[in-house]
Amino acid sequence: MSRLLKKHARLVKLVFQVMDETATAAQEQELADLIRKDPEAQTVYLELIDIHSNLVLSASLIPATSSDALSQTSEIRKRRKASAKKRVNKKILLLATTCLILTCSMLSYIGYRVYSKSSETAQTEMIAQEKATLPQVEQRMLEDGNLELSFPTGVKVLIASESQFQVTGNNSLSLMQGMLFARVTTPAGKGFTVDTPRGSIVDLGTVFGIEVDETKSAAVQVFKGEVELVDSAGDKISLLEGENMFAEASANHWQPSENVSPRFLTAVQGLNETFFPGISYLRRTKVTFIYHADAGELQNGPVQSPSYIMFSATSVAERFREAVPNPNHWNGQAKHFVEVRFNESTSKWQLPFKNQSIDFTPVDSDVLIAQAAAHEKNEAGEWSRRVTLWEEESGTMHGIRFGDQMHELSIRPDWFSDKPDMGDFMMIKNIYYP
Amino acid sequence: MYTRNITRQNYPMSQTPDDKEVMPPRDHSPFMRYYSVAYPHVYRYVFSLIPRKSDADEVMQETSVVLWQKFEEFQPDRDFTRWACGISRLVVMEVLRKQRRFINGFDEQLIKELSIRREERYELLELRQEFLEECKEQLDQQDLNLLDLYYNSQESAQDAAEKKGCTRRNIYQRLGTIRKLLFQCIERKMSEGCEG
Repeated sequence: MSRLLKKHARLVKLVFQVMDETATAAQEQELADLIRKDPEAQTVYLELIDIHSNLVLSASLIPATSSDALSQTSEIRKRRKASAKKRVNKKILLLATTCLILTCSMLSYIGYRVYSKSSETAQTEMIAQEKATLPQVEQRMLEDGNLELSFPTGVKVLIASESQFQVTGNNSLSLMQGMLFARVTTPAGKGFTVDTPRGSIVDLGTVFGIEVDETKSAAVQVFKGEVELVDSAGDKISLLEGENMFAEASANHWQPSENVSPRFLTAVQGLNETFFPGISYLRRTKVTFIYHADAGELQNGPVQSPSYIMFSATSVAERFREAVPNPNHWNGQAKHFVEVRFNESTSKWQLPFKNQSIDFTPVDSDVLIAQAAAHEKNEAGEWSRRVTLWEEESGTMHGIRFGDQMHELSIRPDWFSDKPDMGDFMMIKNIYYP
Repeated sequence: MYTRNITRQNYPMSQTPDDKEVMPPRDHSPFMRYYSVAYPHVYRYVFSLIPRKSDADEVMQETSVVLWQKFEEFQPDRDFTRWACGISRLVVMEVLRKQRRFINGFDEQLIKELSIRREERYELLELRQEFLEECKEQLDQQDLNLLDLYYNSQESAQDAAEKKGCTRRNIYQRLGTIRKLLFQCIERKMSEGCEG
């Protein structure tokens, strides 16, 4: 490896994460800090970014070629090389044509776009008035900004640009493309329905988000409560808090999703303060929080040694069914997260259960996501534990992976409480599901 | 039903409806001749200040409009690419000031630093770009296929992983390795050039 890459290994990793849009806010900040006022680091950054932007650019200038086309012989590659200069000229010609078309198109609709921006409020207010008498209004395209709709039932919907949508009733909406977030907190709002090209989402009292992409694939993420998904065949499936599902354009049924798009997550972060008021939200840079212990937890006495929060792909209740036969024991606890300890003397991982410790064997999909210190008592006599999330580090600890294995670990303690003291977790990118 | 606009993006230097009404028809061709040559340079410049594709694309779109609006002010004896890069930097700054939504930590000061550094290294980066094409030819077929999937076909890492039968983590790791290989290859060619 070149000296520069070695010397700036951390910088290189962060640049790649930013390029791939997998960097957390903290990692973006770290990258900025590393290159600020460091000429050599800036040079490495610029050279890496330039490679990436050239690759992006070459892709956007030449029509996409299939893998098969690229899987030709090296002889063809040599010919391509020989004609590289010609290709560049062709690219520029193509670009010029594209730009001309784009520019003309842009200029032709700028007037309309600006007009519709300045009068968007009036237009949407008009929708509201029309709604009183009309059963259905025409489709709308939101090109810039966000639009909040308040339905008569108390449901609030925030639509992000660029979205194509249609209000279809007093408590329903169609989303043809784009992204929206709905908050249903009133009894009248229960049953709020969003129709997508892949089926309907019926709210059962919740906060949820929907994204429909250009291909008409749809994804749903439930932040709180429960929704019911209805596919185009009429089959229903429930989706609970913290879960997400998607339906591909080619498929007619919903299936569990491994991930939600970075665009969706970015929108969630951006909208947090405006659309989810009162919801506690720990920013990515804040990876340590205090977990206040309640009386129930302390009935077996304070924890004296550090432990870990482990993600288990199999639900905890199912996985430890033999050791903990009573499923009610897990009531009110996170389904896929459990506190574990490592016993140094026996070299075994253990599950604390009442006053005992149950040995267990880790499996490949286990990930330790946080370390919890021993209980501490403050001056007021309150017990608490300091929990630190591993977002920046990764490795293996006694056979279990820990930290940010995919550079995408994104966990928020206590997302929906007034203050971060409940100790629950939500992994919004369910990347560790098998 | 009550509706409310809660946020609205204000694009920099946008036209007003009145602007459109008075805008006379103009011949695009001189502008396009300059812009088609400058576009890749301006794009790479913008990308270095805002290393996220969606944001860079948006700034480029806005830059295109502003360049067209300001083209009458352009003096033909000047370097159009540098003029366009200067305009694009103003667009970046204006969007940054109004929206504050680019990469975390990439504030006005850092963007200025990067802009100056990039200008200093402009010629070298152009040379490196030429070497990049040669270095791509040295990649093996599997790596070329992955670049094609990720960049040309614009598949997500998840889609690429499914097609390749591996994990997304593998895809990101391999992309990182390929970029490092390209970087090293370019470095090698640059040093060979110096020695030669």
